[in-house]
Amino acid sequence: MIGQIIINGLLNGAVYALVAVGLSLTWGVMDIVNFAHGEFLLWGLYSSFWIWALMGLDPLISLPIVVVLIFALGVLTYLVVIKRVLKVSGLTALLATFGLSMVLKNLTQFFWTANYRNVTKPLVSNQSFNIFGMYIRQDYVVAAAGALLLTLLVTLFLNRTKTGVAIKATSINKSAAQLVGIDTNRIYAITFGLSGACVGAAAALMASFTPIYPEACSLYSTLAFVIVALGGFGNIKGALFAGLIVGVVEALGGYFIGTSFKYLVVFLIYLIVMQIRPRGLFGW
Amino acid sequence: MVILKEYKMALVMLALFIGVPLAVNSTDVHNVIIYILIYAMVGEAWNLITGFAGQTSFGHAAYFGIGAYTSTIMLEYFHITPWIGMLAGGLIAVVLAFIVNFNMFKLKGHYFAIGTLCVAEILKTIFSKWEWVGAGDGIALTPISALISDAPSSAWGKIAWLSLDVRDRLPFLFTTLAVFCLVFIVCSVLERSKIGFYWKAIRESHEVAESIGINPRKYKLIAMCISAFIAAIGGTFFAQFFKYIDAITVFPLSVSMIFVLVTVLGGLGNVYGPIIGAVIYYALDLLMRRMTGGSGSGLNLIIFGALIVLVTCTEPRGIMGFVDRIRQSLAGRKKEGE
Amino acid sequence: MKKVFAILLALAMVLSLAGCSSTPATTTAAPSEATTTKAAESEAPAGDPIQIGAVLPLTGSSTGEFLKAAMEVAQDIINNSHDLDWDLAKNKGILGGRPVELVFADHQASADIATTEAAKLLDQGVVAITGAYNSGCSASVATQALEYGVPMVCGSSSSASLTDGSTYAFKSIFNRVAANDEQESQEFFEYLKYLNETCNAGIEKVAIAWINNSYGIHANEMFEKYAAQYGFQEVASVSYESSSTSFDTEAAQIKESGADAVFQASYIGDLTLFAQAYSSLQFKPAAIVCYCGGFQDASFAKVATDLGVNNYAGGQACTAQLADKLPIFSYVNELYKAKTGQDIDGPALEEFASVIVAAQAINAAGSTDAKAINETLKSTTFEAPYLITQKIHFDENGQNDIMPAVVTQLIDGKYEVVFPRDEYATADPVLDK
Repeated sequence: MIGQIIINGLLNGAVYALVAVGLSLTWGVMDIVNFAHGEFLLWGLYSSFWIWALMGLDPLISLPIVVVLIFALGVLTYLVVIKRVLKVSGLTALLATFGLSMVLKNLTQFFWTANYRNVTKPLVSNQSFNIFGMYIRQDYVVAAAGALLLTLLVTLFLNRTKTGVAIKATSINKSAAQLVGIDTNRIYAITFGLSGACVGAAAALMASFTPIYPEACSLYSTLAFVIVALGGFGNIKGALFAGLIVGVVEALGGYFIGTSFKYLVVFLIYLIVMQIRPRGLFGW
Repeated sequence: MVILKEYKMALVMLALFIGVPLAVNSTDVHNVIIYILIYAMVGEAWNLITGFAGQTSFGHAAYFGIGAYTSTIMLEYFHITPWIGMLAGGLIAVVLAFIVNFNMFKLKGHYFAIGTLCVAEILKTIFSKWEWVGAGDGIALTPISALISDAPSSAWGKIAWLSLDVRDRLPFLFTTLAVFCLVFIVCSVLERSKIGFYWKAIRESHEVAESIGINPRKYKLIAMCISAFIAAIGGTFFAQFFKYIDAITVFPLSVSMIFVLVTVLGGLGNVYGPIIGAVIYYALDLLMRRMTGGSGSGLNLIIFGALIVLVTCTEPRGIMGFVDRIRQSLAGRKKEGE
Repeated sequence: MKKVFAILLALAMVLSLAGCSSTPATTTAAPSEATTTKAAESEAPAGDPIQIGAVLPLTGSSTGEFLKAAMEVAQDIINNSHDLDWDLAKNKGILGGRPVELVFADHQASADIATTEAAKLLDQGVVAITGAYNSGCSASVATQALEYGVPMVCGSSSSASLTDGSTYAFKSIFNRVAANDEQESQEFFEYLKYLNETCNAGIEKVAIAWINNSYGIHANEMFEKYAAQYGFQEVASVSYESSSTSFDTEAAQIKESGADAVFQASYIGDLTLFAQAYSSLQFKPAAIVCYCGGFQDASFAKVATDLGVNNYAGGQACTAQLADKLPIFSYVNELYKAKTGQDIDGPALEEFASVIVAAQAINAAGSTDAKAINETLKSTTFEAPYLITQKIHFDENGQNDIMPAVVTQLIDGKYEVVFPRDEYATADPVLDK
């Protein structure tokens, strides 16, 4: 049974990680706490759902479309809102994204009501493989594998491409980056888009096993905050491992201490880890 | 006269807070003003630690909730007036703040902020499972006349039990106002005191503060403890006003965020910030709710959110930044006139 | 840019001030109107509307708009003349022709907003108040109503604590149409006993998964009480937070306990995730019995069909399958369908009933005096031809003591009445093994 619990925790954790990687990009690179991150995820879920409902495309197949859509949403958010609050204290940006999150969340309510929606008969079902007496859900495996792959891709992008390196340079020192001729404005727009693309992908991977309604993503964003901090800001690898850790801690804590306390254990772990490593597990 | 001039804005606002509820006899307006005062009170508390001492807290709901629960339990189970309950709640909040933050200040910036968030979330879970405090049921406050047989029945008499009279909200409103004024004065005095100076020094540069012999941790802890005490008092008023509390109404992140929002909206690090922010926030909230609410479309929240975005994008320093600019341009014009 | 902002901000401030001054204009008028109605109701002209408040979760996590639609159907039936064998529907209005006007407010599934919205309606002078779906919000609305002495008729909140007479102080004004967990628990265990006796289901071990709020806590309490009483062995009691992102650990724990039947006190989102998790663990108990809540949501029927399972059952006030047997219910369902495009479900019918009962009580009391209505509510048996029970009666704590729910089972995506085995049963229980 323990094996079962840990596997489920890891698979869940991989999806958390992908959501957190998106948040980590904006938070780490631009020092912007994006409170609308969960709503990006929500819009990703709704996009997946409507593409499935109207065009019959499975969320896994429409993943690239959703990624592009939420990328655009990210860029748009930057150009319309974030750009104007960059110069002042981070808390003002937070207030702006909070307002934005209200708008985005309630727009879904306005257009599509508070009804719960489910993608039925998805490409990969929720049936399980049975390995060593453990039941491993197919849809979770696909989601987790996709999440890990995409996290890897983002890491590669940051390390190997010119734009990626420019993003990293900007995150380390903005004015120096400007001096060497990096268009930071453009870099920021791309970062925000990339952050959106990550949650868009996460949404597409989750859509087949998540009930979709306006409040669906509130806990995901809270957990993403904790995961990003636990891993160390701006650290993609940190976010990945912290996501997996949180997934496992949540599952084991729920199993041993009581399922009502599973998130309490996660928050407690954060406080304890921070006493030992005040800049996150992978922070420098 | 100097005092009058310096506190002109405070006095004008005080006059408005006394005058408007007297002039406008409406439940909605009275409710919203009580709302404003409670959240502004906790906003002032949050402003001490974040606006002055520079340590962002996303978990002030922890102390707010402790205040709400302590006074409510003392009233419901032991029949002790919330006037004493709020002080007890404040003390418990201070003790909690001290213990929790004793080692927390070694976390910097966002790491600290997420830590405070975790503390509030942990308390939320504990209180939602703790049967003695009602667990997931929460606590509904018994009407004071039913709870205490010889409790006074007049609206002003009920204030001895800090109890809201639903037919005459003014006594409760003015009591909240009086306590808010006290909090406001304490915060203004603190801002101008030596401690306030140290806080700002720490906010501007940790290293410089240390180099001139300030112990940053000590002063941050002091800020946090005072802040927790005030937040707990706000919690007590919240419980007495709503007459129903449970863990998910007093401890969640969304409540912590309200304190952040009203303060940042009004102007961070300015004693007028929280009150101005709260006025704008709740007046707009009510307006939107009344204009489109009840339709179930969420339109009110969409417009409300868009307005927040609009204000922050155009006036990033909060409403007080705007006020300051008007003041400056007025002063400039005066000079020209002379 | 700055100038534009200055103008916008000034506009916002003016707007908010206008908000402060315009709202009072309407609300200050309202209480005085209300007092005149109260003082001079006998002379009031026929046609002067009677206001009934309705506090519902119109935005937020619950689906209040369907409940609102059901209430509006009730308003239509009361105010207009319908060709039905039912006086209330035939006649226009109540108290000699005065129409009922529903005043809606949105509590966003949050107990503190419920309090202020209820206070606003009560100050406006509503004669009775209905709502609020979420048990916790109902408690805060009732707490306010008690301060005003105004009667509350609660539709679908099911927490037993609301009417246990001891948890809250508001029993004198509070009345609830829905079955509470205690009545449901009894009926569920009767049902399991029936399954064991007639279908050889062999159910011995029972487990429960419950959401940690007012609704779940008391469902669990009652489950434990009656499991012991009926001689079943309780093997697991798993509580969870509504906001959880997955329920795999919870489902694994329940499976591990080896339960033959599982009880669920869950809303629609969590129930869906549980159903998926059970299915992926290949866990198929003989019966999964749900305390009202999410089971009644039409979208769950789709989920169960998709998973190909028939072992979900639960308490319901009604189901569309009953249309042939209850003509007035069928008529109500048609009106509701025209508004929403779907069949009426349990909670919606209960909210419908709450408005009907409030109107009947005002009519029977012969006035809009709160005290008279409160007395009538506690002493009268109300006609309810739209329910299987045909009648509603509140005991001293405000509980409808004529069990208003039947056990329905989701068989091939349809809610069939399977228990009690009387004239209203529409199908035989199916054991999905």
